Amino acid sequence: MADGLVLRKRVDALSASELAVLRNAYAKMQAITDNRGYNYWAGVHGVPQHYCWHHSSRLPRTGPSLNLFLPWHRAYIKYFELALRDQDPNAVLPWWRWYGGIPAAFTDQNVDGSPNPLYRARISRPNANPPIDRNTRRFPGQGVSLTLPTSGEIARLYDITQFQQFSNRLEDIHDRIHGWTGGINARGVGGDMGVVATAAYDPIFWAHHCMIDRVWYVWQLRNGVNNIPADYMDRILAPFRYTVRDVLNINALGYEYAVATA
Amino acid sequence: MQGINYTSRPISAADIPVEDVSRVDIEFEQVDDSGASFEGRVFLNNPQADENTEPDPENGYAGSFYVFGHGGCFGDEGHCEVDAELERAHDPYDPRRSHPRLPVDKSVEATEAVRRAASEGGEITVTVVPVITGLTEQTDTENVFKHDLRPRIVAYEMETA
Repeated sequence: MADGLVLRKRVDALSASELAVLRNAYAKMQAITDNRGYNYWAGVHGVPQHYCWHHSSRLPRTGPSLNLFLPWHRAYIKYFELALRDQDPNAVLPWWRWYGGIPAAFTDQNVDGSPNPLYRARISRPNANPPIDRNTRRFPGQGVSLTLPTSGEIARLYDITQFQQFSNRLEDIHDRIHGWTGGINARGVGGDMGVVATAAYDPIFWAHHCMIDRVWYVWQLRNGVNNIPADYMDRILAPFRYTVRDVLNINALGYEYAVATA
Repeated sequence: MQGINYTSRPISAADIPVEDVSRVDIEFEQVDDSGASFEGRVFLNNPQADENTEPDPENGYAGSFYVFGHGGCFGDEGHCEVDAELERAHDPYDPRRSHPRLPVDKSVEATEAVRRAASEGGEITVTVVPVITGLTEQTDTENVFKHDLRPRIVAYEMETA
């Protein structure tokens, strides 16, 4: 692509070879136990590092209430994608178009006789309290009275012109999708996508957040790339070397989306 | 699976300006997101509502908000406890972010439901039914609400085409 930008595509639009590249990069990351590996990057979001931003809250230590949900996750998946491309330079994060359920790429348990690294991953957190050492779990739609959003529901978000209102509405839908994807099985066991602590260990987390990022990008096309409160601009998106200002233009981050409408 | 309801103090319908407004939101503060994930189903004047109550206007259903909860504590003792006094004290030499387990704000757009309830006069109560959508072995699925949610009814006057 022009200017070295990588093109993030819809999961279902990946060719067989592109999907094989993605699986290869995921599998390599999942086999690494140091800070290049899958467990390290999943652990930035929830257990054990807890850096993620969700919802807005009061009593802020460093100023007025704010919600860095969208810019923080944009930085997060960019760093994850870089780590993924360290393992295979042709790997690019795809986005999950929610309206048709979970794509087969993430539901096939095995591919060519080997475990599918997009289906599940190992959570290895021996120092958590209690320790966690098991494969990720996913019970989509089970035990919860939730539905995935419709494309019309997402399209209506684009009519909102004020950033915080847009962000809050999109985050509410995001929260709902996490609950639907994780689900709760008949024995009362919750899926990992259902809670912050373990969500990022499920391989579909990254495609889900790629879609969130894409919806924000489409909204920016309509409502302005820099349409965000001025006091957000210089906020640091720890632990990443970005401020909010740095992540507003996705082309400056080195990527683009294939389709610009929901 | 449902946690224990939250019901507000009565709010006087006379205090709610629903004439000549085009949108009415119900805003909540101090929603706890440290434990289970849940759908907060908001009902007006129906404190007995539960997860089996049909979410329709006849039952006072006003809308839902969703909470992606942290799933309980996986740290050592005290890891997820918020020191409110420390959070209030603004130290210019402390660049750290606020505690990630601070309670959060949520809202629902509830224009027609509020109009309907206000038109009946008297008092309005706001009930939130927490229907669990995500959990771990570390979550308390009963006591989902740890604070008064302080619901506020906010009416907006907006231009229409």
